[in-house]
Amino acid sequence: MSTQPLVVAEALVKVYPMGVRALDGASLTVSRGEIVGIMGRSGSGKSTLLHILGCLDRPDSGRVCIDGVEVTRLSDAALPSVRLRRLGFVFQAHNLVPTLTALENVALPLRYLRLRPANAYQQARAMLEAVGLGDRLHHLPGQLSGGQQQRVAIARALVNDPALVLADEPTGALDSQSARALLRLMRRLSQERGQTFVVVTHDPAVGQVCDRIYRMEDGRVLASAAG
Amino acid sequence: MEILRNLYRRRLRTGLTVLGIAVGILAFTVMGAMAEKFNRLIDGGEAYFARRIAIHSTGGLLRFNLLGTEEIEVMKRTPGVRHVETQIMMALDETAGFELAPRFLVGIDLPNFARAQLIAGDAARLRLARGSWWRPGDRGVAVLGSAAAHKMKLDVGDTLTARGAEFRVVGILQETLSVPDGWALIPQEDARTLLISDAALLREMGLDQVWTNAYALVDPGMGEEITDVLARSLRKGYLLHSPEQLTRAAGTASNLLNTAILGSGAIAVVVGALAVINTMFFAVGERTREIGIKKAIGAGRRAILGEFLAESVLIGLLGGILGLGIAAVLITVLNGYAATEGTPVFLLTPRLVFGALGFATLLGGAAGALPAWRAANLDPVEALRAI
Repeated sequence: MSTQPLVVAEALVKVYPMGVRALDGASLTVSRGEIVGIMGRSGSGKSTLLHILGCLDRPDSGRVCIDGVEVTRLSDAALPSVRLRRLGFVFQAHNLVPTLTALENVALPLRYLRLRPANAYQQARAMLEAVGLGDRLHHLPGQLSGGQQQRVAIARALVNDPALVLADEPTGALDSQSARALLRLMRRLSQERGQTFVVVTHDPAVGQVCDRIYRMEDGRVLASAAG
Repeated sequence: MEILRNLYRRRLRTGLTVLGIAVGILAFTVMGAMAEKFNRLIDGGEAYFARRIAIHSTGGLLRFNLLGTEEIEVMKRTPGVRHVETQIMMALDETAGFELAPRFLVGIDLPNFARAQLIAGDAARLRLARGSWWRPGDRGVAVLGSAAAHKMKLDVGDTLTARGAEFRVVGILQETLSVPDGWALIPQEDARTLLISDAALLREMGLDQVWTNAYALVDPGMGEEITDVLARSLRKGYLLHSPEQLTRAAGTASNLLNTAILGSGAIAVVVGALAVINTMFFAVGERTREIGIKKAIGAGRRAILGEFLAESVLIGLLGGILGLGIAAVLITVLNGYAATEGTPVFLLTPRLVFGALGFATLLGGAAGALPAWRAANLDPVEALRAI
């Protein structure tokens, strides 16, 4: 494995139409296998940074390299493929497609990768078993608890074996017990699989599982501190 | 599977949309089936009259303009006329009112009729379904067209009572989907007796060699020209129709009908399409978050576009199947009722079935295109903000 950082973001600027400078020269690096937290008050630019790292949005200036690819130079049409092959996402809530079962939700990225259905479902099943939901394969999201839904979301984020998983307030909608269980799961996956996570959060409990924490203020990333 | 579940999740809305299309397709199919039936009638009529120049007496109060031997001779001598078929035609039941296949008593002279049949060609031939023709010289006998037989519930061996006379039914014709279906063919002498018994003046004048109408049989393509010649040679007071005129009239009628179908089809388009567009825009709005998630995990525009298009196409197809099903039941019931009146009114042809289904599916797809396009082009960050 190379010793190069997995993610390098340099001097990111993003100005929204009303003149709001959501990012004002934000830079950070993330190494492989780390869990990196990004904390800050609301409006500090955390979500915008996450969207740009996740290739969902583009900065007005600055550059982002993920896994050796300078994604800020890619065309719009190429970005879905980057998200599909190199990235995983976990959002705060409502992560899942309500009409699909847990198994189908987890298999979704593999179906977009055009894997054969039998193959896709086999991998999805293994991933759900790894997050401890082997007995909930055919439940619809509405039939799962909030904590279980977030674990399905993590399984889906990991099923395509991404270089980087981006999580936006993953525990934000959970009670403290479910939140702790989810964080333990992330920790374990990070250790077992060498999986890299970038987690945007308010939650100090999340901070405790992070290897490093970046603090954000007014669109800038302040120095990082050990978690 | 996901498509079906998405439709099922919003089953009330989906159901109403499907119903909207079904109503459109129902109207389209029923109108279309009626038009198909009339088109078939018109085609049958065209085949029957393809080589016949029709010459009718305009009647008149005193029936002075009946065709007599003199006129028939003029026609026969006209170059290009291969045969003159003569008929004595009168309403079978003058009290019947409007009939889809009007019933007529048609007096014919068998040898004259047989020769006309031979010359008129295969497509215009009247064939027996049951029984036989009468023998020359027989009186008080009849061969019935299919609709006439059906309407009066008569079969071979029964007795037809018309205009106070009785006829033994000896044969039933095959269905032609044209005018002869309403005919009761009887010997010419019987018909002439009925005709003259109604007109004391004719009897007084002793005009017993008369016909009400005649057909000059000509070679294909000669109709127009020979009609002109005949019109000049005959006395005034006769209506002449060339095959071309009949074809043109039929063409106008069938164009009108087809326009009517297209009109009802257009209404189906507007109503159905609006319903689908509305439903799909709702679906896109409601599932904005879901679209955002799918885009975040790497779904391309094409995947999202395909998903929503497939849904709207399925709505169209389901509506088409439902509408067609209801139409088929309705047509069967109405035809069952119409059959007791002599002739079915609707004809559900394969091309109409596939046309209606294809139309519904295409409609669904076209109406879903705009919402699907919008879904596919949603900005993922914007979409993820939706709950």
